[in-house]
Amino acid sequence: VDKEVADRSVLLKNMLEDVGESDKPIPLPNVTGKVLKKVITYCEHHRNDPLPQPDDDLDDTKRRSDDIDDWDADFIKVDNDQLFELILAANYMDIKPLLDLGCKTVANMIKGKTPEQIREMFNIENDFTPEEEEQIRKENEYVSLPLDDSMMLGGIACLLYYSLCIANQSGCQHYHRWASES
Amino acid sequence: MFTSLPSEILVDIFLYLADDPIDLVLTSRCCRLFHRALHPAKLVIQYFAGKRLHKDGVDINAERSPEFLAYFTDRRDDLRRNRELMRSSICSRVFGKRIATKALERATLCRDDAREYVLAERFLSSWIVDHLELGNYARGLPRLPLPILPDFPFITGVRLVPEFVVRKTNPDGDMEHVVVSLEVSAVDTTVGRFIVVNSTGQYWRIQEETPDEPFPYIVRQLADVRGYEHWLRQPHGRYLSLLKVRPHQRFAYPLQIHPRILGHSTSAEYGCARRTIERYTIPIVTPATPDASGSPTGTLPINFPGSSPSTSTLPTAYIMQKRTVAVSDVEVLE
Repeated sequence: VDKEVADRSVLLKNMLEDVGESDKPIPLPNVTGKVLKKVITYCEHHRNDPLPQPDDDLDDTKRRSDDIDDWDADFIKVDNDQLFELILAANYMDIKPLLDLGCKTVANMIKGKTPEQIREMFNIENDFTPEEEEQIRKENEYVSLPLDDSMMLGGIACLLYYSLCIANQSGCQHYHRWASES
Repeated sequence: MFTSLPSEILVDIFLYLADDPIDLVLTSRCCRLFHRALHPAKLVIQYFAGKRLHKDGVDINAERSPEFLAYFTDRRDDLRRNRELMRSSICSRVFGKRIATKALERATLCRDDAREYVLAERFLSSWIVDHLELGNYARGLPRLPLPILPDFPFITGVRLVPEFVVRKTNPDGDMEHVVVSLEVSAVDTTVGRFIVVNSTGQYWRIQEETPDEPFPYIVRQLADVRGYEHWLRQPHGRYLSLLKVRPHQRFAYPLQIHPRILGHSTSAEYGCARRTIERYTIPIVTPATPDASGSPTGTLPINFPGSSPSTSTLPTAYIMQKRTVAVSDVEVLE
């Protein structure tokens, strides 16, 4: 691997600075070969990108998850296990852009999901007791029914009523009157 | 796999959810780990929801009432859109110091409105406790046995400490400001020590001080909250040497911190704090009593009910150091 590519990892960069020029391989015990290959692909693609600055994190307005470019989006299309391995590898090797990419991807997967869907997607065990779950549900009652669900229920009710009107051969007048009144 | 990610990475992921409080709340309901990590975020939501209630003239104490829930349900789209709200809180990293600054600023702005103040104060006390809890959690450090809400079990008392008078000339004439700090007495339950922390950060006094021992954990945590982490590791090897900070840092939050946000305080101390804050808000015009050296600045001749003169607990050398503080060194709060 070119030094320029290896330097994308702060861990490797520091190691190389410490040991100097050497042909000896650098052990990375926490990263499997398969994941490392993927990491190298990422670093090679981004070899010319500016290195992240320490203060980049301080600007909160930059923290958005919808700014993933096409190559990165394609690169990160992996199964969940590999995604988390990539995140861990990026964290261990200190490759901030890759870590950010992984975190953004997971966040995007979570967005708009119910707790059950999130648990299912990531194979998370529900370790709340029924009592705790009830208490938490009460604490956040205002989000117990996502807006989309309630709108969907309303839509289903409208469709049912509309169907009944047609079945009664009374046309749509009842429906429209009902809809405008409600 | 998800739940085995290091907590710092989890936090990073959750920060990307901050645009939408609903996502945060729903995610927190997945498992205990997420619930714990996202608890402060939900507090922020509740706080701001409470503020909206207040602005509309609804009782701020009715946060859990059906009226509150109905109100909030009606406006959850507003909240969903309110990105700035979450950016100013969660995105600043719940464990960061800027959120503390922001919250303190808010508390200061609210200080003339009792109800606003109580609300801000309630939020702050919750936030600080959560900050400590979550801060420990995020750093992978051992946790203190803190309850989630709302008190510090290890803070045993808070006392106002008159520091000095600052005179400032402006077009309306000379004004004198009373700079008051808060002295927080705490028992560090992990090491069983008694600590005195001055809220202006001017001194840390630790009974049974042993210079070679590392800082008690809670001191480190309190310093984190204040953003004074850089004090902790000084080459001098003695705690008192940590007092040397730059002037603009020294008085970062002299009066903006209310005792109640730091934990327990008696009603007398609470009233005392309120009176002092009010007194500070309206600058006094009585000249300060000159000290023995004839300096125009001196220790404040105010006897606060329920508090004894605190200067007796301070090293003499340090008192002298305080008396020599010049106006230019002080960031005067207007």
